[in-house]
Amino acid sequence: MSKQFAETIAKIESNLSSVIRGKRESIRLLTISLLAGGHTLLEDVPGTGKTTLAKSMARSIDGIFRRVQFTPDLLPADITGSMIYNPRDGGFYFREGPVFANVLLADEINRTSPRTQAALLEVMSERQVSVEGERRVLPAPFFVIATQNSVEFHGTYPLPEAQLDRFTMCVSLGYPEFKDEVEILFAQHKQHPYDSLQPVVSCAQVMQMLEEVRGVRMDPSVAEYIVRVIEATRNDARLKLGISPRGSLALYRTAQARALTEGRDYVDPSDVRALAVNVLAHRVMLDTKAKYGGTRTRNVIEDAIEKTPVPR
Amino acid sequence: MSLATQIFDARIRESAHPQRVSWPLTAHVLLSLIAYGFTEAINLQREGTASGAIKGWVPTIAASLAIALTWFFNGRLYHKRVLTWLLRTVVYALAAVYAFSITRNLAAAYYMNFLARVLGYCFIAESAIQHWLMPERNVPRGAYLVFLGSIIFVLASRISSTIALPAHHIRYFAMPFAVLLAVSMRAARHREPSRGRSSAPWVLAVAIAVLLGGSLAIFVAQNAGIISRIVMSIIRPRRETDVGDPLGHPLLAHSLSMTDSDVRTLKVEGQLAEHHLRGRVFEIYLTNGAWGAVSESRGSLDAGLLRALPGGERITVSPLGNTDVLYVPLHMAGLDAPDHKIQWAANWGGPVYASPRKDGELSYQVAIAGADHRGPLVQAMNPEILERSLELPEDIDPLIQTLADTISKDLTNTHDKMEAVRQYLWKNHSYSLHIDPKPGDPVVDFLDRKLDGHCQYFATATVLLLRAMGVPARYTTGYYVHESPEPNTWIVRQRDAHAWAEVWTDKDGWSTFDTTPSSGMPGQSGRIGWWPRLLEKLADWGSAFGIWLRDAPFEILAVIVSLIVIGLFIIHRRRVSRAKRKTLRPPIEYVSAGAEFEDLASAFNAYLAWRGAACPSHTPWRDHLARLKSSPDRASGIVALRWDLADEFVTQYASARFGGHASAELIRDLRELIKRLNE
Repeated sequence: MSKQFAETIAKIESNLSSVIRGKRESIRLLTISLLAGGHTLLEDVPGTGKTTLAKSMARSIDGIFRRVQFTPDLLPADITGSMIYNPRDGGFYFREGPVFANVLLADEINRTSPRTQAALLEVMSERQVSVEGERRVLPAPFFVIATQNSVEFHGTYPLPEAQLDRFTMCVSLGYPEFKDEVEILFAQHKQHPYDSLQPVVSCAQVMQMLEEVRGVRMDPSVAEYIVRVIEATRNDARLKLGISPRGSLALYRTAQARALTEGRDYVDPSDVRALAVNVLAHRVMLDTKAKYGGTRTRNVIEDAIEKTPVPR
Repeated sequence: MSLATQIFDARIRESAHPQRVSWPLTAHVLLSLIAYGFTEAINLQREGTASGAIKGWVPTIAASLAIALTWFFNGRLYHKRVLTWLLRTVVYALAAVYAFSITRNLAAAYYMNFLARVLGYCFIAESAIQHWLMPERNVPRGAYLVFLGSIIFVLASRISSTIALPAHHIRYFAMPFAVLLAVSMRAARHREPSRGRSSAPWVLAVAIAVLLGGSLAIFVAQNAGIISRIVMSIIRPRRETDVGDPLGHPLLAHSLSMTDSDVRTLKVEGQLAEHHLRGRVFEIYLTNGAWGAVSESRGSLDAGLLRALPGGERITVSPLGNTDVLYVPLHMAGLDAPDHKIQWAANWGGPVYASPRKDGELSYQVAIAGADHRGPLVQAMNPEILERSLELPEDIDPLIQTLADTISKDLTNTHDKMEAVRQYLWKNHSYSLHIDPKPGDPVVDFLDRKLDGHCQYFATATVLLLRAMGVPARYTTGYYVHESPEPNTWIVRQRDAHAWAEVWTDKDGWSTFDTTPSSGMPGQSGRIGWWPRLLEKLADWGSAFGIWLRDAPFEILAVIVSLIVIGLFIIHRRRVSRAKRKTLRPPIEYVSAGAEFEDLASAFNAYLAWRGAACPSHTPWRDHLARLKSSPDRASGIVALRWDLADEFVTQYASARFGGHASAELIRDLRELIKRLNE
């Protein structure tokens, strides 16, 4: 069972890496995030392939892809959808917003007003939209890839930590390696590789895999290990804000997903270790002194891991 | 795999620092070597043999740079420790200023060694402090290396400073060594040996440090004589005056290099009537410009000179450096130096010697002869002395005799002759530190061409001219005392070294006759600045403490040591309890899967440790193996595991432990794997 699962994952991943070169790590993390039923925050500079990655992900799972470019004047209704008056029959009908998709790319999420951000984040956790008192369920799977421009501050509304917490993972693509970049140039010589991308799994299959992830065995000692790591961040003097139980839950779920991608039906401490930085680093808030002392959130998480003995 | 690599690598893998050898260590060790060269270079320079080859300031600048480097790179490692920063800044800034200030006084080898010692102790102290302050996992072996470097450093400075290294200096190492040892043991105790991590390298490292330090101390203590002889053959001994051939016979120098040296040599307390303290006396002039002494037959002081002090004025003289010659006024009536055997060359009015010589311990009382009493040095103990004091070398240039005849024309009185010589010299010669005589007899050239000269020329010329006139005279070296920082206390420095004549008159016996022009008298040299004064104060305190430490009874030392130990222990306890309060967490234990799994886990950990690849407790085996596989250690063969078996063990173990697939069969397989791994 797990073997078969791993093969499917491998298919998705190779599909994605034919479009996004040399970013196997990030692709793997993104896949894990999808399978854990979470959402991902891509923190990166423009032009590193965030949109392409999201689009390819959507096509690989044979899902609907939508994209919202967040701007300061965007309103909640612009993303959830709204009731439109139909003059022909005099009634109102619901026009779906971009959230009605399997893969939603929320580009530059920190450019819009907190109100709209809040709407999106609510949708992310509820997986449904209430418009005019009517609940509308989003398609499944529903996977949000939000991007945040970390370079500019002017005219942005940085996401508060409380909202960042809702993203399962924070992934950074970064610039490609030299060789990969040359490859990228040649790969797009005639046409974009995305155009020839074929779906490898269906949405239904993805949902089935999501179910399977929940069946991965978690030994009590490993669960304890997760909590120990989380506790270590809470006791860290450099942090103003430690990690919430939502964080431990996310680490739990993603560790399960990673175990499956590695072809195992049980979680190993190495899964927790491998994911901790990506799952936890964006959830903590640094003390002012530590922040200006050059500490970065990932250092704190790394230290927590380095401090916590693993179960043997 | 060498032991060193094993010790080093096991630690580096756990360390959060990527550097294999940290900069501060390298710099510390380098610095100690540089400093050793530094002392050497200064010694060489003093001897005048290294002109141009090693300039004193090159090692100084190098040392300062190295200090700056340690500072910089150290700071990068432990930049959060404000205390460490502060301490280092203060210590090194002081040291750098000190190094700079003393290099201007190149002859001051004494300061140089003092500096070397201070720096050495600073390194020891700092390494201990850092070790104490540092978090557990940061560059722990640094302390050993720095410590060893410091030992080399301090030893080097001690050897070159005292030449004969007395064994008691080893005692100074004892305390820092004990502190470091305690700290290292503490580190070793925190190695969690129970979780399969090997503590062997740690114990070994401590043992090596103990062995090295201990055997070094014993070796040095036992072979002090040989070491000092070897070092002496390299750097040659110091002399009490700055000029002379290697046997100590004064040679008329073309220039005096020590006139700018303000190293203290004597401290005199009491009312001083005479400002000339004589050390050695020379009778035989050699025409190459050297003075030689008659083969000495030293007699016990008690034989010729009463050891008991007669009443009247007395002074106390304390040599501050190493000397076996006792500097005394000519009108000495008696002398007493407790615990020392006093000898003097009675039959040629010669110098007084003390033995055994011991650094900083010799202090003697001299009674001054009253007006009605003739001291033993003033008397001619032997008629032979007077005869010898009239001898001129056979091959002396006739110019001396001619000149003497010219000067003493129509004079019969000894006093008139002396005055005539003085007037002649003062009229025709002036004082200069640098003269450039032709080859041959420098004094003849001095008189012939009416050159300028320094005290040695004036004294030699006086003796030769007086002898030519039939007046017994001899050449005396010693110090001209003039500096009195407080009433009845006199400080004598290297630059106060002086030479003069002693003349015999039947009425007064021997008397001091100094013909050096007043502009050239040592008293004319400049005053000592406040900074060297401060340093002298510090050095005094240091040596007083050293002497106190050496002489302190065992009980007091024991009390002090135990107080320090107790203090350290209390500090340690407080730190521990504070750390406990901070964390308030029990040691982490996870839900166990049973005793057999624990056994297997510790067996596998033991295997990894045995192969030099101990796995830290916070790394899963899977990750550890993966990292080892891609590390250069695998290629270089430092880590040689049975990779396939290890991988298989890790996979199967995890599947059984975390996957819930445990069965008796699987456990048996795992045991089998461990067995095969250990084959």
